[in-house]
Amino acid sequence: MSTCVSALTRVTMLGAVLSALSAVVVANDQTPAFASSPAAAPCTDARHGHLRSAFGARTWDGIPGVHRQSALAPLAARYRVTVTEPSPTGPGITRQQEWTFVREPNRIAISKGNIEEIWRRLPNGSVNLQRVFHDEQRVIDYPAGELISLGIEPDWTELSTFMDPREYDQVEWDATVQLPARLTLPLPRGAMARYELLEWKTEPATDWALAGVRGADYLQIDAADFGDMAYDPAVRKAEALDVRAGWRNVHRH
Amino acid sequence: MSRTLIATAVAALSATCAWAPAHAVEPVVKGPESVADWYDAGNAFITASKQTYNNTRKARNVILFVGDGMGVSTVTAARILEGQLKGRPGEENRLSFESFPNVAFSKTYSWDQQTSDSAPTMTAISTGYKAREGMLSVNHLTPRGECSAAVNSANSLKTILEYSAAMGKSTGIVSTARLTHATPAALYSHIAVRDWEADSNLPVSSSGVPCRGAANSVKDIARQLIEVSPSVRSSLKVAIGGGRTYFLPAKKDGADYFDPEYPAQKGRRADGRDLTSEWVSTRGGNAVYAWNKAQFDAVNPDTTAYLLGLFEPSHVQYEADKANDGAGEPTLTEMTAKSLQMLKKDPAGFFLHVEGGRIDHAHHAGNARRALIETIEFAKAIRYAMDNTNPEDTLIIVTADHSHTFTIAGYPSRGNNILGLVREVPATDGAALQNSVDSNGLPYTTLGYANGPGYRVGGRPNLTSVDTTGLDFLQEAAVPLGSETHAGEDVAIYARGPKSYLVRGSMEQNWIFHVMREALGF
Repeated sequence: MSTCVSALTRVTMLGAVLSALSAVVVANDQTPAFASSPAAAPCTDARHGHLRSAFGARTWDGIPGVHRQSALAPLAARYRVTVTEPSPTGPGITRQQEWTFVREPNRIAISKGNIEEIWRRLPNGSVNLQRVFHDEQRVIDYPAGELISLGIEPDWTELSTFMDPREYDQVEWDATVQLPARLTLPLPRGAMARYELLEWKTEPATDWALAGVRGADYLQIDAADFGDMAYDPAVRKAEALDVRAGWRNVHRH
Repeated sequence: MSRTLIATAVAALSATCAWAPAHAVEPVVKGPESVADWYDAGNAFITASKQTYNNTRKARNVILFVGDGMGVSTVTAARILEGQLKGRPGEENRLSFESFPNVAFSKTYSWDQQTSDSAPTMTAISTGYKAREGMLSVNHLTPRGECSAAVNSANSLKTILEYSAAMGKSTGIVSTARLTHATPAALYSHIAVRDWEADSNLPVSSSGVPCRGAANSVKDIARQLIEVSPSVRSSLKVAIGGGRTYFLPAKKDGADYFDPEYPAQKGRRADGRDLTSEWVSTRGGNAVYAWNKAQFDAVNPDTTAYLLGLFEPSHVQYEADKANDGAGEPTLTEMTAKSLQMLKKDPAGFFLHVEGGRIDHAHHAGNARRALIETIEFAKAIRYAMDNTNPEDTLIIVTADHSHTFTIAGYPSRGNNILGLVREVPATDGAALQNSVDSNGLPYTTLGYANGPGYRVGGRPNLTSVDTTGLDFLQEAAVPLGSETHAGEDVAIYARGPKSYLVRGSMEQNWIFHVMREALGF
């Protein structure tokens, strides 16, 4: 179940998660398999003129320990993400990745194998995003102004908790850390995604693969320049992730 | 008058009266013009045109305005929107530069592209030579990805800014994009890859040849702006736009170096240089660097010799979003005004380039409203230049580097909201306006794109109750692409001032340079 929320596309970490899952699939077979994932649900699409409802009507009351404006405790968590795709000729194909999630007061960073997403909240409350593509050695910047022009309204509370648990039926919620402990999502064409919280710490372990560590010498690209850089494989990959997150283009309705 | 004639006249009058009720129904859609207005306006145009003359003088000053991606449909739609924002139907409106006496078409293909990107197109405009995709002011013999400084130098093409500097004129560059972006960069840099805006953007090696950090490597674009030739260094009085992080180091004295407005964002330079401070230190005592609106406003053009303004880490905010910017940014008109106030101090004259850089970005995003607001602001900046220069000694050229796939379609009635749904003139006078519909009975917008983000998977949406005029609305597109693309049709050139009469007919884009060259007399 997903909810139409505002004139702008509300961004949750789950959206990012699903985008990254898409990336897993894209990386493997170039198939845009996740176009109808919850985060890409078109009901948020005032840009394209679809149905919407008032964000203000929603509340975090009833979610144990969560208050919309309260700061969540910093932590680092490790997830196992399993994507299972059915196969007509066999038992199906299973892919697994380990992700790390780091929550700080003004920074949310998630490492998903060879792709990272780093969200930063600025002093004026606006939010920007960096996507890091290690295979292509590129960093894609989404400045706050660019996110606005893409119709993106990041929700810091939801970014900090991976998701709004009320929007998904099959979630086991860990109220201590305010993160999903287990979550299963159906994906297009019979595929399933499963997330399992393996462990969490107040500080990440030294051997965890963290976002933001590598990439200082990568080529940085502004998302506003995508139109001039379609030749760049990281741009094409980032655009595909944007689309799957419901940000630009190709909305269903 | 005989009885017969009177009877005939009465009969005729009766007949007329009998028709009167049908004629009395007012059309729902009507322009403000009287019948005579059309003829009178045409006559006034002829009278004014007869008084125009070819200004054969040399130009003391040249101002080159480039609306990035400002195709003819963009000009038309912006003209209508500007008029409608003034409470008029809009179609009769004229953007500032549409009053210029000389207009031509510009063919925008490049040496290797049918539909071009901004690098070879601005190279054509600024150097007089068509060139290769993605290359800035180097000729088409330059190998792709060439990072040898010697090869780039050997293939360099001198730009109109550099010629102006050599003539002893002051020069300036203004853009709403990064100053290192293709359009402004083509005026001062010579490089095989437009993306090499900071040293960290250069590859470690290029075809096996050391590149980033190598002594024989071509300098990145930001560095080229600071380390220009002695004549350009002396001449380039104003450089204002975005792209701050391309001038700032990632680390300084071993510590991370952060952007002043966005403290989580580091500089992009790997060489540890702070080119903003180098601008100040290498330009003499009256050089200023400003990164926010307050600092910009405090710049006194009478006492400031050199001004570098960098108002965002990357491109400056869209005009429609500027109010949300924390540090504040000047508008394109304000940047143009400050530049002109500084450049006009030079008795030898000046060359100024002003780019409306974000028209292009908004189109790439499939977002017509932002693109049109950018275009209207671009026209305001031109208005300022028109009002503050003398057409007898200042050549002003307004053009675009390329077009976009932006269309104005259907049969919308006069004064129909240009951002709205198409509503045709009713077939019967007095009938109410209704949305025009497609073959499936669904309404559609006047504005659209041939490709881009506005494509709707699963068929056309029902827009009946949708506010298509909203800032974030994406116009529909026929082909699904993450970013809308450039388009290959001709763009317009508008000119006024000395030698502007040479702008005529169908022109190759690189001939614009030759008009400016002829006007400056070199």
